[in-house]
Amino acid sequence: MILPLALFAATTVVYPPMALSVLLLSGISTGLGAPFVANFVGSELPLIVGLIIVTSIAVPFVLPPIVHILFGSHFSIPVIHMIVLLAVALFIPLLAGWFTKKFAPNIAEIVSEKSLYFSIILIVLINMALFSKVSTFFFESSLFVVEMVLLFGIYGTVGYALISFTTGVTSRTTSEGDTN
Amino acid sequence: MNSSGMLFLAVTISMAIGVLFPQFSKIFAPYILVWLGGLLFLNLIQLNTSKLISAFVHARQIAL
Repeated sequence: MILPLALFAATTVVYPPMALSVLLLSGISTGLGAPFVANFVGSELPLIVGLIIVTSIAVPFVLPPIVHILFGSHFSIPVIHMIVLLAVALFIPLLAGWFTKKFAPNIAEIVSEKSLYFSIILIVLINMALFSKVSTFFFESSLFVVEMVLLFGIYGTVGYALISFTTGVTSRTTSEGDTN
Repeated sequence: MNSSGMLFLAVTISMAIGVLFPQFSKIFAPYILVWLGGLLFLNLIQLNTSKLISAFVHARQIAL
């Protein structure tokens, strides 16, 4: 809760029209693409999966009241939708992976070795599907898109610098202190 | 090409295809949950279940 509120406060000062968007984006649950990123950068996968589960269940109870207090508007995120999404997109793949490791370890090993390439193919399909839905927006509001890409760059750079400064962990080190 | 470069190219090109060729890209839209489930299967197969349970037992990091 602290980080979304802090980012909301900062955006209210720097660029108020984006304050609600920043609050929603920073307050939403951890994305289902996070395990891929965790494996890609060598982060702690169990922690990431735990975060996905906890934040997905918590967000229907946390985010709407915050938005109501700060903006006076009402919206709801049905808990059952989040549970169904977790079941379909997280627990079923998790169980499938567990069964594969238990009953077909050779296949599990091959899948694990080639997971990056297959993951990239699936990311390509997801991206094409998602961006096709908002395609017209890129042509109708091109300047706004450019502004948002620049803001994303600033947002990411500030976040990376902050984490590096506070934890001493950079892309060249791991959380265990090893240097890559 | 290293994996970072490959990923960057794949993401950039797929975004461009989605924006520039929406009619073609919409073919894949109804199956987003399938692609997402597959992505998680590929990455969660490496997850040690006991470590996931441990992450909840020692939940300080999650709480933070």
